[in-house]
Amino acid sequence: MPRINLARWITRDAGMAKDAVQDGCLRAFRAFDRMQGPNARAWFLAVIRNTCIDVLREQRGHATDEAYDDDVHGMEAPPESGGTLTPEDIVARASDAEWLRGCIDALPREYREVVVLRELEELSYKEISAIVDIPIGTVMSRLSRGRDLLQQRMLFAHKVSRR
Amino acid sequence: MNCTLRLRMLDAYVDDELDAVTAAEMAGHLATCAGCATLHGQRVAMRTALRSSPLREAGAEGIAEVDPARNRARARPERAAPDAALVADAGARRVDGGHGHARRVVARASRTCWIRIPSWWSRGMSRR
Repeated sequence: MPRINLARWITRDAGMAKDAVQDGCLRAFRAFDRMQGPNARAWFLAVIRNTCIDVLREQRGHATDEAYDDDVHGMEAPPESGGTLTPEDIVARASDAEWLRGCIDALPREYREVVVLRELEELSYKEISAIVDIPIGTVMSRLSRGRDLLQQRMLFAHKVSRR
Repeated sequence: MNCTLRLRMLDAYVDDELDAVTAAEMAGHLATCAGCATLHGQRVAMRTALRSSPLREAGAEGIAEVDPARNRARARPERAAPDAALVADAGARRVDGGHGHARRVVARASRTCWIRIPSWWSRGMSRR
């Protein structure tokens, strides 16, 4: 059920995700004859994603596009020279789903959505580009930055849990 | 091409989104550069960890907590055994905190018939 997962990841709230999926399904049904492009799944996920952002704006009463700011989002992350995660560390720690969910949820939305679409929904760069409505080059750079941030957060959480 | 330029393409390489020539060039570089190979190993490990984690079910789980009716609906199988095994795997990992016992539950799930055949259908089949 990729649409529900995507809504949950974007809104970070099960209730809002439910509202967004219901609204999104209705919008998609009404706009079905205007569907563009050969990929119906990507089109439908784009409708759900846009609905999620609208629901977030309605419920929080302000724009929710969290632009990445090193002072805010980079605060928790340790400097890169502070340590590294071995591949074995990453796999071992990621087996704890709640911990991993926290690491992903902490990412700014613009990075979180591309990481989720690529890693959990296994969509191609082209499909992600269509869903998020950004050029493929921007998908690449957001994915790269998003993974860097996720890795930093995994390292930070790894250190905290060891204390 | 230096390491900085190559690292910009590392994610596209891991995601198999590079053209064949650039991918081969990158593979050759990774075989000789320990620093880039370490980063590549981390990226591959992260992708493996994310794709094998029960987080694929996380959104649906959140919905189920809010709406019991949807939870019951979700319990009905949409697809057959392989996905049922994945759901059982995810459930087992959630129950035991992500360690152990998943294999046993998956094995049991894979033997379970998730498609309920109505009694009238069975009767019709036995008459033939």
